[in-house]
Amino acid sequence: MNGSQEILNALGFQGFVHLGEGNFELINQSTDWFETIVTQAIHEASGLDDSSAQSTNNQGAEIPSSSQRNVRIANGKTFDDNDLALNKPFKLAVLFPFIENFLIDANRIWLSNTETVVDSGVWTEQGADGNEYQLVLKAFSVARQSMLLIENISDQFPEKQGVYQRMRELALINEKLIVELNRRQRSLQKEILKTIEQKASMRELEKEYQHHAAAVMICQSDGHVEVANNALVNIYRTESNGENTYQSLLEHWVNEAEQIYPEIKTNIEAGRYWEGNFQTTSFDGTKKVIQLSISPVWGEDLKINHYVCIAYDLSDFKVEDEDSDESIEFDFTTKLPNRRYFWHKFEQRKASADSRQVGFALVLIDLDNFKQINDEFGHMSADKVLVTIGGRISSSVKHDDFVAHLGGDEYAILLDYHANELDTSLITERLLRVINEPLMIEDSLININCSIGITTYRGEEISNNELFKQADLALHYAKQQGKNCAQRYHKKLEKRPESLKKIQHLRAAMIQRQFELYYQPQVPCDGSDNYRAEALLRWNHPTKGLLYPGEFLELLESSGLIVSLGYWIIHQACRQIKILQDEGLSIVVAVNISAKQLHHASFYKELKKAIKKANIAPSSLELEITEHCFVGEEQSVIKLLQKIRELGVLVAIDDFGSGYSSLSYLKKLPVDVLKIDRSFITELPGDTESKAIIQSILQLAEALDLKVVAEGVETEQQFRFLLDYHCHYIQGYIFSPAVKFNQLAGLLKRLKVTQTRK
Amino acid sequence: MISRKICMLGSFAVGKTSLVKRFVESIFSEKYKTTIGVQISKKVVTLTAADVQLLIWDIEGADDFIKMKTRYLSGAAGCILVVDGTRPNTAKTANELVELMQQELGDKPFVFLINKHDLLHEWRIDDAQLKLWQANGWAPIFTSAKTGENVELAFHQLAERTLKESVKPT
Repeated sequence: MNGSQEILNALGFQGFVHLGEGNFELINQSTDWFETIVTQAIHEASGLDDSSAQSTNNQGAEIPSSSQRNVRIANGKTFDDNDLALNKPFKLAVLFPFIENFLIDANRIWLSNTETVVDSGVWTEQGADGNEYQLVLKAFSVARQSMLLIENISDQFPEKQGVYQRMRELALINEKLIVELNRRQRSLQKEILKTIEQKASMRELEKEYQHHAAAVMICQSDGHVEVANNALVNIYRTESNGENTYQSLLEHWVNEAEQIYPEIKTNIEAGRYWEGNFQTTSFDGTKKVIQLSISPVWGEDLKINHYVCIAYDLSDFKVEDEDSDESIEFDFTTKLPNRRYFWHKFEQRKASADSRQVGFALVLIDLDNFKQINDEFGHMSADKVLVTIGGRISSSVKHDDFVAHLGGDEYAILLDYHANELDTSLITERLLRVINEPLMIEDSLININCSIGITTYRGEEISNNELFKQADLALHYAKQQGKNCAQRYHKKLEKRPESLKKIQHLRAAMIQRQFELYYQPQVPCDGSDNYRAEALLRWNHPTKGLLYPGEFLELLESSGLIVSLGYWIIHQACRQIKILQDEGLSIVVAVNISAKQLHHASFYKELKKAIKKANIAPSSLELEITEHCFVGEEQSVIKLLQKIRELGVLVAIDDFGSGYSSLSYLKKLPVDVLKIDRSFITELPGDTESKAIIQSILQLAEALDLKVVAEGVETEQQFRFLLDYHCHYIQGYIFSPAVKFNQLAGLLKRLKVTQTRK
Repeated sequence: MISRKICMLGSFAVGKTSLVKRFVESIFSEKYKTTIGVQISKKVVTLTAADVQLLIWDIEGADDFIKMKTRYLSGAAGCILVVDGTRPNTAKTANELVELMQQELGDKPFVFLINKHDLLHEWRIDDAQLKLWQANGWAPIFTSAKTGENVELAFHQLAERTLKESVKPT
């Protein structure tokens, strides 16, 4: 044995020269450990001898049955101890599949003829002596010879195994901690928001959360900090606890997180919940990894007045490493890809779309009124809803589409498309439908709606954030359209922010009770005490003063807010009728009902509820509808009006004579009162045509036993004409403008028609 | 005899080695012993069409520090992908591994196991998650190396599929 052979044996190596085609020749004396694993391998191979079938190696090629294989192993002989002698070709790879697999890498090194050494990583073989042997293969070239060493690392292995064992046990604990930490963070966020809703002061909150393990910061929308607890001080390493220290922290976080979450700013400004983890730099320059969540707190003016920020220092759990692909992460509740993963995939899709010249669509989904589920059923049940909805969304898209849970009740989908134009209506209809399917929570069957915003990308020059903003704007628009619908982005939406602001103001006005009902008397022409009044909506605008419906009605209609405000009007009118009736005043109050409101599914139910709640006679309420309500819905509206009249509520046709239907089908309509359109009144008494129309309306009403109200009566001549032609009620400035409710009773008692007809 | 190389893939500590031990040696140990590198076991399974010798490559579980050596997959006729039903995060690794597998092996079959099904009190896989996997074309099999639940079935199912043309799991 020469020197190098001795060294190999001393080091625990078994060395070979590769002769080509998988034939090896030992270059040092066979070691005990090598002999025992070879013996075991042959023994295992012999166990297969019973089969006469041909075998295939792991590449799928046929290999001979045992006797033939042994011949090949030992180069024409049955394998025996002598085969492990020096200078004998030996088919190593046939015995050891791991070596066969390694030959792919080894051949590359041998052919390159460089000094590079490639190793196989550890593999374990069983020996005939019952022991396990941990081995590593090394391939390299020496003097144009292809060398293979098998290193026996069994002695060092227990130490290595111990380190890995401990490392993975710790990783398991870490994993559980992070899941628990995520759960606690969301739970704490909800707890603080609830405490704020219950009108807790910032001082109380500070006291409550001062020593909490999570870093808690509550700041105003401009960043002014009101609560910063000890854990926050610990993360940012500052002795100073002054407010100014943290003044810019929200902005600081946004700037840091924006590197990997481009949408964070848009999200926070829009007042949506956000969470993610990223590297932050504390005030002393230390780098840390934090898991941050930010929730807006909305004021009664529907503006964000605070942000609740909760951070956990993950530095002990995670190291932000540029090489590691930490972006592949999943939401711990839904197990869908999270926000960070979404951005990672978004960039990939965008790059891929550019190179392949295909397009993709970004679909944002936001569950409608999810907060109610949280409040009503608690966050555990709400989480289950999120999981179910996530599953439904995933089941609704193709295998290659990418679904992410961005946090809170927001989801995103990236859809590939190859055609010139993507028909998004199919997918959005499907999503709206599957999300809306009934869902069981705690024995209650509920339906969830969602709003969807979509934009598409086909290689335009646009930043990721801008593209996201497009889908976000479309989503916002869908919400404003009354929710439960989808909106695709188009440029015109960009012009909408002004109207969106106005809608926000309207919502705020509703919450702050800036709307008020004024009442204009409808004075009976027969001099009786049959008091009537029309309820008219006014907006006590905080800066613009008293606003009339002409300035906001259109927006109320288009935003859908008319429905909820309309219900308030009915309830308020009923409450005030009750007050007047309790004062001994018999009155009928007419309220205006819009077409949208009348067609709303709950209208009849809500009407009944208002009457019952106020405890008034239904006949003291009159609904004024316009002929427009019948367009396209004639039969259903007639049915509804019949039901309403059966209830006892009166029905009036407002602006009568100006609409499309007019006289021809009046007899079919279940109505009690006609209100002559004010345009005819204005032209009295000079305009012959107006006079003729009014005369016809009055005659028709008489024939059909309907009452007639003339509105907009301002002059003595107009009044006189209407009186002479037997109009029943007069409404207009000639008697009084609309007045506040508290002035109504006194006014009605003073107003009486004393003139008599000609 | 027909021989097929199959690879056990999954995050660390999902129970790959335990599944192999249960299948090959019918034994189970509660003690977690992490695998380093590769250990190859052999077992012959009798299928309707033929007997197949499975060369089961039990490959070290992937974690944040150690990425799987993709060359271990070379020549594999199929894979067994394992996640831990008590650790939803192991699905993250499963996704990555499927991508790697498809890059290396193309459309080779795999069976998808959600292991530790005996730990029902710690189970964190719900219906929505299952639907998600099913929607992705993965058909999960609940297994327990401890009780032996579905272990034979899983290996047999893969062996059957390796005999057929390359098809995705159904």
